[in-house]
Amino acid sequence: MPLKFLLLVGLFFVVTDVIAQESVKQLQKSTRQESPWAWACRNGRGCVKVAKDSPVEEGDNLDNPTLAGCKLTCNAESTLWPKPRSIISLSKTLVSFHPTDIRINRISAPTTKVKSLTNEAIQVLRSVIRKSIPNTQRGRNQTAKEPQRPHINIQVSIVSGDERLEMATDESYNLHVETIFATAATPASPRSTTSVSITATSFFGARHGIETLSQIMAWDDTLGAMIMLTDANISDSPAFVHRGLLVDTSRNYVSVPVIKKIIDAMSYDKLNVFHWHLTDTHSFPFVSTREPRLSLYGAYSSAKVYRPEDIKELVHYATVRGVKIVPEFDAPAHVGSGWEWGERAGMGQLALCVNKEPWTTYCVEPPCGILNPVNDNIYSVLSNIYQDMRDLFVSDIFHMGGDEVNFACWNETAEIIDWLKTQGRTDKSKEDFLYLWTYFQNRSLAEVDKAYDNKQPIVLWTSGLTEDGHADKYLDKSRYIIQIWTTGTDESIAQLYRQGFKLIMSNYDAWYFDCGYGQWVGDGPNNWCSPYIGWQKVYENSPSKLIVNFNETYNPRQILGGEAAIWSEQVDSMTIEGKLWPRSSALAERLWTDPDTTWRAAEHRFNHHRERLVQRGIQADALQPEWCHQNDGYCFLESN
Amino acid sequence: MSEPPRRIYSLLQLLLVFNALWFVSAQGSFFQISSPWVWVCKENKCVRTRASETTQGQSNAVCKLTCYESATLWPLPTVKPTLSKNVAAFFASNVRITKLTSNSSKTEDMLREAVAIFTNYIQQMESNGLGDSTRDCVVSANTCKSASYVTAQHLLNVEVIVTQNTVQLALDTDESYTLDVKTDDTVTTAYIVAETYFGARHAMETLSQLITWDELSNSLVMIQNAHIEDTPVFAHRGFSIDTSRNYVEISLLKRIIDGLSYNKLNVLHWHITDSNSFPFVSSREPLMAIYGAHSARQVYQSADIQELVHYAQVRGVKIIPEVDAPSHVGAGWDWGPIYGMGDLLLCFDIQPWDDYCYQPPCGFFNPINDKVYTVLGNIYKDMADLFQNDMFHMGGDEVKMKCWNETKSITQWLADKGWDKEPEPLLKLWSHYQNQSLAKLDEAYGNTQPVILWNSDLTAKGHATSYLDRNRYIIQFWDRWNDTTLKNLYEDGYKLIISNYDALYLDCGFSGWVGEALNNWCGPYIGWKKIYENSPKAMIENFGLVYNKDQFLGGEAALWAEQSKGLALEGKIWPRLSALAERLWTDPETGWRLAETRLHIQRERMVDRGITADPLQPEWCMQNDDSCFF
Repeated sequence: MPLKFLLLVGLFFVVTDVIAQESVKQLQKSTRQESPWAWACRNGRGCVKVAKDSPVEEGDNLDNPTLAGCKLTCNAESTLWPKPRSIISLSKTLVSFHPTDIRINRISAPTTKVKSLTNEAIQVLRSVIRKSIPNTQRGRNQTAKEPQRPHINIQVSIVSGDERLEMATDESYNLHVETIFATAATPASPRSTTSVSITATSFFGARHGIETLSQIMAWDDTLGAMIMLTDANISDSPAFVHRGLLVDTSRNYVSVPVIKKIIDAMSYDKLNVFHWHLTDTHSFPFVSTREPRLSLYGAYSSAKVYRPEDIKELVHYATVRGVKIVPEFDAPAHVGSGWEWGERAGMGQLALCVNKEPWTTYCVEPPCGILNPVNDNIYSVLSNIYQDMRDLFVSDIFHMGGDEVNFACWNETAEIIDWLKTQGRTDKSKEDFLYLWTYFQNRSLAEVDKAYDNKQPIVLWTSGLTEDGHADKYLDKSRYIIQIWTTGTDESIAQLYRQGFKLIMSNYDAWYFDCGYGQWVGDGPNNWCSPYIGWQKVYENSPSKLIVNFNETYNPRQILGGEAAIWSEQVDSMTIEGKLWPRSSALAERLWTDPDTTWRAAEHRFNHHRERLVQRGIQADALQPEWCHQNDGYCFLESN
Repeated sequence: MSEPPRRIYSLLQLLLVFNALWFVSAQGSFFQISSPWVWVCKENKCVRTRASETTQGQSNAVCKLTCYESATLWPLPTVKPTLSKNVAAFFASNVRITKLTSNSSKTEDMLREAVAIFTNYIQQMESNGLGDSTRDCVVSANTCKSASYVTAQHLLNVEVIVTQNTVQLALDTDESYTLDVKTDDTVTTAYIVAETYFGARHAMETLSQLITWDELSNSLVMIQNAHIEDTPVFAHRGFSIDTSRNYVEISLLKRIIDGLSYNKLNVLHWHITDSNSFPFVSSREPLMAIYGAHSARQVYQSADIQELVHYAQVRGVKIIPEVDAPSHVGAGWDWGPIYGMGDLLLCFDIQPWDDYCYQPPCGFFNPINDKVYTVLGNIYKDMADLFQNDMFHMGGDEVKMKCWNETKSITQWLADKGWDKEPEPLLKLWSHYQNQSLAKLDEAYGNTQPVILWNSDLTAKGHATSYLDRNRYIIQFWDRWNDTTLKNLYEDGYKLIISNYDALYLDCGFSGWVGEALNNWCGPYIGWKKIYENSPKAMIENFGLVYNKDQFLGGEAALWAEQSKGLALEGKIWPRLSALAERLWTDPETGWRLAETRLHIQRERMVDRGITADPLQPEWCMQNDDSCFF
């Protein structure tokens, strides 16, 4: 028996944390009472709070009687989130260790760049472990307490030299953990050894492996030590290649430090795409080196901008965390602020109907604004924006927006009508304006291609241009990926799917995280896409089911994945974390694991993962009373 | 040192300098961004305008401070204020307290604390402003003392006179104040006159709202002349926080109190225990928290509470503790049998829970075990030691009878007393519990303070008048706004606190947390506009009754904490609670629309002071007044 290194029930009573100790001391002064509770792993329930001195129910397992220890060992999936697609085995035994016990044995990688990225990912792991330890415990040397702590030796091997996360990147990994205990027969090495081996094709797979490793560890507040599974064998890869979050930084600004925290949290969930809706009619916070007037006129203030150096830093920060930043330049609608200087600069009207009233006639929310596609100067400005983006972002796809184009403004603009006449189009019909829109789309695409000097895939939102009869006429399905934002039962999904377009799902009825708050424009009680979407609905929004519901055969190659979106009319740096998390984690398991099971099977793990996010500094919203976390399986309403 | 030269804010002078600067930086490198926009006041609206097209341009903040009829005050004073349109520029370091007059040293100590809080805001406003600035050294007054036009030293003197010695906020405390601001050349003086400390601290809050950061002059500016007379409409303006479903750290409670003080809310109703956990450390009954806290970290020690009570008092907030019973008890009461006290608790965590109570875990007092009253008496004594207040909350909501009804010892006890022959024996038992525990409360406090109860079966038509003395009990109404319960209680003459859930429960609208429902029981989410327009007067008049304001002590919004924990809860409270604050302080006749821009500013103000409040709208709406309407 590897007695020395197993968590013994006796150890349970060793409470070392200063704060906890003080509280406990004060509580115990008059009673000499320790906490009367332990946690039992109970069949069909999970970890249940039980009195230490009362008889256990049949089948209760008290091998790891602390809350953290029970959670790590009670369930078949431990506390892993998202659930790996193939778990070969996880031990039910634990070792306790000190963060300094972690050593990097070897990183084998084909290039120094990949090796350096891996070293950074290991630093992230160390910082995540540090964050999970309460302040008062950090830096305490526990050597004296447990001289026989294990060595934890990590070995990482990576095959490919990929430094960029692309849609074709192999994100799979294998994680193997094995502990060899010191015994009386090995007096020369009194410390046991836990060997961790992570093997992956790419750095991005290896990084996911490191994340998984961090999740078979936990801070045990009762023991006052880090604990981890002694043995594990996991082989894992994602179900979808595109697992994203959209953050809108135009309606309200989101600060760079907060974006970093969002990327941190994405990395804890193995989400890999940060879709950055950088600009809109409301503000233009992107500092374009080639077109500085855009943010000069369009930013909310000189402090509320993203400078090239901010973006470069973010792109690297994200890469280390397995996240690709995909920029969106939404056009021809959803522009306004920042485009007001054209006439003064002798370039004519670049944008039309900016801030025009009544806004309900010209656009979907104030302020209105739309590009003037017949003014050649916009294409040189766009080209400059695209070139700036090319310089800064590292992405294999580009988002051109293209949603919610209202024709009323173009229809009322003489310059536009005159131009249409030169094209022989005089009836101001829908077809005429679609023609104009396509003209814009083609010309701006040409500028994107010229700026990037390639023909990367382009993402567009569902819109009038992607409607039945238009999509196949105006858009090349080998070039365009369509991001769905209608409801999950909208016929346009089936139509685009049948036409062979590749799709990214963001159906608003499940994956719009700004829904459900108060109405921000006008009188109604709640905003347009109410109600608030709970994590359960987020979790169960399965792309394959959506397709099958249309009586179509599901072809996984056509669905790249999905994104949850947080449009920022009613959110900014202050509260964005609580609206994104933990709901984004529900999205993450849908897209990584694509489980056949429902939210119920995930609830305990999800609840625990939320606690882990908070430990790591993410201001995630709460899901349930903490009592539910301490009493797995009791917070259900049994359906009759 | 040179003598402080004079410094009068001159728009024209500034504009000349800044127009030149914008031009220069617009042509300069891209990272020195300065805005081409200024704001001009037209018909009580601040209109964003090109700087080159006006000589009247101001920063958005200064425009808003001087353009609107009531400046940017929140909540609005009850008497329409007189405010000048001119502003004086000054530095935070030039704020002085030139006079503090009161009759007691205790009041004076508190006034000094309030002054320190006030000056701290001002300093924070200045450092936040300077921190955001990317302007050239020429206009950064504090860092470049040599700059010609900003070296002046404008003084802000504050004089405070308080006449009464009240240091405890009670229902009858006079919270009114008068604030006069007068500017004479290089000195602005704020004269604050109040009956009590609490009025004086409200005046300082109002004074702080007459000051803003001006990004054009890179300095603080304030309204030069003002006369404000103000007093709240309702005495009880509160927020109820639940720390049992999920623990709320002391530091977070302090932030909530900060927020209350920014809005002149004056009650923190502390739902400190429930069936989920018992975080209150009772010195006389330490087993309660040992058994009942989520963990040894998640408790409230006596010292924490004492500090918190003082912290709140200085900020004009009274903390009212609630010990909810005989239902909503559980965790912490489970040690009875082990310690030879018998069952203190019944049906704890019984299944199926939905037969016995409204959410897991269930739990009820065993009202026929006298030991329950002994323990309760000790808890009340601990609370009497810690909380200084003039009212106590005994909860009393959601008592489902099935548990008691199925407990043999209880039915036997009822039979022994002959109560089983009465029409409603269990209701009588409940009333028995209420009377016994009230006696313990009175014994612990040595007084007969008003007691608050939630509306419940005990307060239903016919029951209330039989069981509850309306001179003793205040009813907190949490049903829907038009529920006849309210009508009945009002007609029966009970004093009321409104917390109707359809407008004042801030936890509504999130996902379901038990069962399959997509949203929780009281969804949808309640927007601030509904909160703002939720008026006791409208509720009473809706029943066709004559509104008697004196029967309403006020109201409270509540955040039940099933789904709230950690810093994320702040965004659920703010700025929606500010909407309630104006309803209860000002009780305006006007609707949300006239309040929207000011509330937006109040939200920004709170963020500036460190509260992570939710935004109401795109910032664009703040920069383009009156453009975000249907």
